[in-house]
Amino acid sequence: MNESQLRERLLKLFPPAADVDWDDVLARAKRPAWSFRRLALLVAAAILAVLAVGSALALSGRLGGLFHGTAVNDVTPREGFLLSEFDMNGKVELIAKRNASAFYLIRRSDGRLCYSIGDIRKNLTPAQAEGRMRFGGGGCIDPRVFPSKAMPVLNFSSYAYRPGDAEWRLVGLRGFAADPVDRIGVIGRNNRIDFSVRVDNNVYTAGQKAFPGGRGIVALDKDGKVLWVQCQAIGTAHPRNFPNGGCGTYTNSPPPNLPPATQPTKPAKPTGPVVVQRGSDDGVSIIVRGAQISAGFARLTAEKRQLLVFKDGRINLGCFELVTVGAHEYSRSFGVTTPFAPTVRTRFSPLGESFTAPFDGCTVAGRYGHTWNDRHGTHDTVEIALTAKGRRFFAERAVARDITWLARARVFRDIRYARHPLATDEVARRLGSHVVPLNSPRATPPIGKLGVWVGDHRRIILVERTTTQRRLYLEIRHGIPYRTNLLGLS
Amino acid sequence: MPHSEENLLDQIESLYRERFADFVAVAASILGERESAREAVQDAFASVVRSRRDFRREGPLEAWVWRAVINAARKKKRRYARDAQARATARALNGTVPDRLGSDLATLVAALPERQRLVLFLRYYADLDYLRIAQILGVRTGTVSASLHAAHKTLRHALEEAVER
Repeated sequence: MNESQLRERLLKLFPPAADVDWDDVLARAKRPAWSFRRLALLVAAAILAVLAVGSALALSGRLGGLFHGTAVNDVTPREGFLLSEFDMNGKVELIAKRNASAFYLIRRSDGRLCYSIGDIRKNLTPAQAEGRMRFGGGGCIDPRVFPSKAMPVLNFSSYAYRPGDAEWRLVGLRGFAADPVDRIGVIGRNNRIDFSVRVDNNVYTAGQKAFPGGRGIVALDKDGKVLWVQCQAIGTAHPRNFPNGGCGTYTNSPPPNLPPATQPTKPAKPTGPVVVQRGSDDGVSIIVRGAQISAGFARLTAEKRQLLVFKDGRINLGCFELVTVGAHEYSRSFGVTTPFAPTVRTRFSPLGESFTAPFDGCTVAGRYGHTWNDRHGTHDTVEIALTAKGRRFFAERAVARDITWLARARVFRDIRYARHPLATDEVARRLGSHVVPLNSPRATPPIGKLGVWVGDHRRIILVERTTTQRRLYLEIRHGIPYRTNLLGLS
Repeated sequence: MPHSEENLLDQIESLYRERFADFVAVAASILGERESAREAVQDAFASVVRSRRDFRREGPLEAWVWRAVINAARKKKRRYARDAQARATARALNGTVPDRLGSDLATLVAALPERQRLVLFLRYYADLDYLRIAQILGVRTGTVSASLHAAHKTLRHALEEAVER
């Protein structure tokens, strides 16, 4: 049955009605929409509802503007950038601190609320402070969904399974809860509440405690009444380690039933001429036309091809643009994993949004492991600069990787954490000919060499000069990165 | 009455006259019978006329009216569900049966999920494009396409099976 046949049959099913009566419409329009009787019934029903389910109504009534905290005014440019990458930029408020967790609310300009929980870290070195990101796991949610009666808890815990475990475990129990929620309970393997944690100032956390066999959580009010259930043991298959069969009497609360929110209309991007970029290197040529990427691999060597193509016949193709945030430059990357072919045509459109040229460079990266100073070097397998900025970035990133990969390398571990520091010459000798000893912490090695200097207080400085004449360094004190200018590069 | 308001009333009236059959058919796809569908359309237009000052012109008038018709039909259906017992008794007493969908296709269409049924009628009966259907139902055009595809597939499959039997 094709479309026209279906159309005909539907018309036969419902022959067009012709009994139009506009006067009847106008007459109906003049009648009051709500009769007094219906209004009275509604009021009576509302009163009954208040009497019958007092706590429930209190729940919905007090959820509106629950979360208010202290404004966080010291968001670093890096944190701001990272938040914006996850569409979470807005006014940040600290709701509470519990144990080693900080609970944040972010008010986006479009009215959406985002929630984030991060770890509290103290006594940071300058390098750690510069590179910190206080806002850990998080996300934005329709304020009609949370906090609401249908969803009074925004839970951030997760379920983990480690090889060797007989069952999965609930870990990182923490989250946000609306006012009427007094405790959060954990449903154990026997479908009983094995543990509960108090909700204080709308947040809860059980710290590092893990719950082997945890099947879900419940929200309890101050009388111990269950307000909401989130049961994860809902599988129907029977893999050995994953729970199924539900949570006994604790059945999942129904999801909020809301009409779809009207999407704010995004301002239309100006449609200028399509940007076209071309570049080639390492046997690969790239042509970018707006959001379309075409990569030609005809001149790729067999060795590079072996490094690039995964066992499943696919490659990782990515392009990036460089953005300056604060005093640092960060790369914003877009990539796809796509089947390898002599010519690969693709576009970067995660979540339906297309990313378009201009880019500063593109890469095709292999899936091989890296160790410091190995034969693969510190460049990606294929790097194609599309702008001068991109060329500079590739050069500097390769040097930055040389330093950071050494700092993490097994061969460096004894040096980094040595209780009795070795002499500079001895360190250089142990690391091979690529590393040269430096006379002072301010010295710089020649291009292509990695300089090392070791001083008192377990102070180690790794330095390298880029072909762009930039001096990159990492200073380690007591085994911890203390100061660096590698941020955004490695 | 201000000029713009009068103008809006004229537009509503012409929409009513031009598309009355489509509105009734789509409402019937929800309610399952024509007379109730007509009632729903009359009620919906009465409501539209009454609340025309609330029309903010953020979208097309037609989409707004379609939503009113669909909402009126859904509301009526909910009320029917509540009164189902009473209606069954009434039918038994007076011996009248509403002109329910009779043919195979009608039965199959009636068995489709409501969204698929609505999309089917809005597309093939009311001849609306995907964008307009998406505006009316408050979903994405991709959802319209998927619902239509699913409805079409179900119907084709069921009708083929019926022919084979």
